[in-house]
Amino acid sequence: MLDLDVVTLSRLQFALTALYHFLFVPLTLGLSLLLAIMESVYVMTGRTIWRDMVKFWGTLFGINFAMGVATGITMEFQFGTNWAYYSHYVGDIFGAPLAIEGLMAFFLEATFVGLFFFGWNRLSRTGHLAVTWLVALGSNFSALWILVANSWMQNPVGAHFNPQTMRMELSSFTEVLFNPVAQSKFVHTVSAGYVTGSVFVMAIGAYYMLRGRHREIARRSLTVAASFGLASALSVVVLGDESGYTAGFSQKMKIAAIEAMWETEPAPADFTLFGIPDTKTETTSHEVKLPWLLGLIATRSLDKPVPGIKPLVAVAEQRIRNGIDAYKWLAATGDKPPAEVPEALEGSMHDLGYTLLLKRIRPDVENATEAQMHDAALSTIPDVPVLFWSFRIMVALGFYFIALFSAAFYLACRRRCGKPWFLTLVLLSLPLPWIAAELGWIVAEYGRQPWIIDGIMPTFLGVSNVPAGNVLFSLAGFVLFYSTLAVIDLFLIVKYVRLGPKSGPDGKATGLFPAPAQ
Amino acid sequence: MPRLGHEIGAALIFKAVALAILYWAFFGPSRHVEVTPTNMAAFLFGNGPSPSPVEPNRPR
Repeated sequence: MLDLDVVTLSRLQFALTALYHFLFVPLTLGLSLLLAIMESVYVMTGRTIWRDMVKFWGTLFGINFAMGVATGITMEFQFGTNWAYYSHYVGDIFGAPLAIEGLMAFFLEATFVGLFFFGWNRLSRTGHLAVTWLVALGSNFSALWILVANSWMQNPVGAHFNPQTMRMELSSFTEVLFNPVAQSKFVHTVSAGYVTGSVFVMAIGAYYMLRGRHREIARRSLTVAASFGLASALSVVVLGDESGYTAGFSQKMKIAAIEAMWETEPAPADFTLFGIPDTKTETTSHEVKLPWLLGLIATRSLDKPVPGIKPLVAVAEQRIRNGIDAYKWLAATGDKPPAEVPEALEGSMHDLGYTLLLKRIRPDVENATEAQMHDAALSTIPDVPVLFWSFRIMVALGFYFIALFSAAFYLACRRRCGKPWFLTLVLLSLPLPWIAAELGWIVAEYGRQPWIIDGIMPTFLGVSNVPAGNVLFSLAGFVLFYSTLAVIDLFLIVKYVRLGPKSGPDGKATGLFPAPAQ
Repeated sequence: MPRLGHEIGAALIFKAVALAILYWAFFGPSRHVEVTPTNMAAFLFGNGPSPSPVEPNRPR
């Protein structure tokens, strides 16, 4: 018997490992590109202060990279043990981008990271600059392939069901790679990483300026980070909007839940800026709406309505009913599955995933009652209050970053970014990009529930029936492991920020970097 | 080697050991659940005991 505790524990374990992993990733993404920009300035101008900046920020990058590397591998551990049914069912598609990430992107990044740290005295200026850009490219490539994999979970294109192997199989790699969800998600996510790196650099620069230390490095760092951060923050918001649009056609229930939109919003659909969703009464009180905005985000029009939760539940119920023929056929084939799905059942096959929602209610789903089908349809509603507030806090932070970077850019251009109130505000903003990024993943993943692959496989059917005690202990192990890494990361970063950049003709090494050749 | 190199080296050793222990304890080959087309079919389309029911998201 599949124990619900195993389902909840497995989900919690994966969620925690993913959220912990994403504490390290955005800073790697952002800092790698900032390093490349700063070193480009060094090579173009020849001014050694820019080289010292690269070495200092490179030290912090190295600490975060070393702590973060391989923190993602624990998720791959879980695929084989805790999510075995999921791995079999969709591994033919899901596994490919993960494998490419490991073999191509990660090795590219890891190889050139070594050259970045130890190649200063061995490579020419332009050679080392190329290495730094390749490190940035590698980290972004890693993000691309991981997000291609995750985007397929949100919008499963380019695949078909094979009844002989009882799994989804790849029909078109091009469709998977150019999944519209992947395109917007990739740029949105890496931009969020760039924002994180920019806020990090600005906050530490602000710290030095408030302390009256390393002013020249701090001022230049602030200026670069403000410029890069502003472009990145604008990109995050624009591509976040694009993600909303793609979700508007591929994940309508997610949009409805994010909006706490119980009924269909007539055209031109308004956006709920604020409200208090009530899942018991299925209403949202104290609504403050922005006219037309949801229509523009979700449909790019002013004449299309946006479906609400209740109508989408009715659609889900119909799809549950529609998939039963395919379910019966697959159940009847037994040990002799045919090579392909009969043409007459192709429509029903399309809704098989919805019928599988009934498995949580009764094993013989073909005998489900109308009430049970309705219950299964209701399970397609994700957690509305969590999504509603996570999304709004994330978006509010996104606009805050635009304002913060705009102010920083303006003040930097006027050479007036030494104002204590502004520097204090920047310093206090340090944790905010991480909060925004984690909330973004909560919206993406929690909003996809009850699906592990949207419309194809419910989450509870992806979980292996391992003893709940095993999952509990491994979960505890992961929490301990990741917490220790986070503490070490924080300790080392604080230590080397306090030590500050080291430079000068005395030949002393800066952080991770060897002394210049004699 | 700079001091930070030693610190990071120690952290990496800790990480490698911790990951190895976690893998050996909870995720090694002996703990993998073997899934074949046959047992996948039985799991999805068989009439085995149903998963524990979940309360639907509807007003009481």
